[in-house]
Amino acid sequence: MMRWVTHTVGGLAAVILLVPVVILGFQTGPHALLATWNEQTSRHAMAVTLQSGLVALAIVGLLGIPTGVALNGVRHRAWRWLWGTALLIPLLMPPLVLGLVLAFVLGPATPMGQWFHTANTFTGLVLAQVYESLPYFVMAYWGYLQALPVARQEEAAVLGKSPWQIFWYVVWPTSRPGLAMAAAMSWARIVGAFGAPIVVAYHPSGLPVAIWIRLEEAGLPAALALAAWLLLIALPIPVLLGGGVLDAQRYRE
Amino acid sequence: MLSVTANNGHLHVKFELPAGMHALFGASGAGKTSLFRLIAGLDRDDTARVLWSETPIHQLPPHRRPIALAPQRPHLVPHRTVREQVKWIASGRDSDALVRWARALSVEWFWSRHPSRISGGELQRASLLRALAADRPVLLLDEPLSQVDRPLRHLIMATLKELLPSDLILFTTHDWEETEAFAEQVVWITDGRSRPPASPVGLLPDSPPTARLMGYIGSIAAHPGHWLIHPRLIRPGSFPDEGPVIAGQLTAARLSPTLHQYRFESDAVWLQWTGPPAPRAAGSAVTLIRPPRAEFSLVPATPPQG
Repeated sequence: MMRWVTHTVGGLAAVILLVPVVILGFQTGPHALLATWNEQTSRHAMAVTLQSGLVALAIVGLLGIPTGVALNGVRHRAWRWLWGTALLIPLLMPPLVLGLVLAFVLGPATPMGQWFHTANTFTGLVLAQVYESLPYFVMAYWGYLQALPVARQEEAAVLGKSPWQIFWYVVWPTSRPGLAMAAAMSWARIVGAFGAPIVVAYHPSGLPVAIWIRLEEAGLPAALALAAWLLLIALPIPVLLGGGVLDAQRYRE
Repeated sequence: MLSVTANNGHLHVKFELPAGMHALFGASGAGKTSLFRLIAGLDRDDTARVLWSETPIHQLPPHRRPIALAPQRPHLVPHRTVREQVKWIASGRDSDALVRWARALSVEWFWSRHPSRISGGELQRASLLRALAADRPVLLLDEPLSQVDRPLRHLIMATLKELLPSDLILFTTHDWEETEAFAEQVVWITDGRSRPPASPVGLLPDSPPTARLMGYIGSIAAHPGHWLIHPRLIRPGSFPDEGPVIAGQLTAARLSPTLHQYRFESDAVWLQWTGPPAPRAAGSAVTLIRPPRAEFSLVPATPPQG
């Protein structure tokens, strides 16, 4: 009975989730894809998305991994609750609002904007992507770390291993599935980042902004063709990372 | 010399132990594991004072303390084999001794397996080997072999006592026989309170709960005035020279394969209790060694009516 319910509901959810993908597939044939590829601006947008996305993903990882580990080490419930809530607040902001607020920091008239040229530059785009995706990474990685038995680390500590040794031998290898999950989620946010980049870094346009421009200038079919490309170039990373998630059960015991 | 004091909501302990192998004896939930976590530095407590060789170590993080701990429910790293993990802890120290210990603990034959592929008892032995690999002056063993079958457990304990791989070994147990057999000193812990260390040999219970914990049978609460008797206190024959003893007749009736009913009768006392089969109860002429405290007062020699 249980099995029947979960399988039916799960199947239904999968169908609902895949509807937009199927529509996109039907609406864009190989001809439209090829035509879009042949345009200089499309290829430029793809390159921008891939380059800025990979840089943003690296930054998100560099900031997110230590943050997740630090949060996992917080012992007091009250502090854990406080930090967990604090991280959720940026997620509550619509990305467009996040962009509007970020303009106060990264805009051309601000010190950051003047010294680091963060407005309408590659740097600005990367920063906007980082802002949109970092909370997802930290929440996913922290959540995974919390599900791992802390006793493994304690036992290594009482046998003389330093926190660094324990991190490299115990935490890092066993948290890889969580890392893969967090990276896949934040990658999805990075390549789809639209609200913050359109305010902070309209140029250079990545795919989401380019799709918007295309919709305004050339109509829906042309926009959908570019959207299909977004899906195609974003897909390899989650596919690769998905393999890493498969081991999760093994590391939780 | 290991010196421990703590005074918090749960633990009120104060004891000093010399080098050697000692036991921390108490019922489940008495605070043995909490005390070990405190000594090892896993739990912090401002009232705790831990000194090793007169050097305070309670300010140090766990990995800097001269202490290794083998827990009751070990968590080995899932993605490494037992051998890899032991080697990681040993980090190049004396591998000959480790191989000998691996043999003594019968760990060798599952050396190259991952923790998910070994049983609970094997996991405990692997964890003990890992603790030995840490090669630290103080070794805390929190019921480290509770899932290992009795003969092998006693063999390992005897080996530990003989070779003494650490300056001081402190093991927790709620088995009095093990305490008597392997501990030079025993620290009692009851509801988080410790008593001064004492030699376990010949130690007799001083209250009904401790008597029950030490494996004495019968119940004072249910039958006021009755004795609690340990099967080992019943000896065939009579020993008039052995101090406060009472000679009498013992009869046993089998209630079930695991439960016998015993009746002891003498000129002075009449006692009845149920308990596990005791081989020494077979003889009819026996002697009871009388516990020293007043709570164990004798009942008049008149059997209850009916």
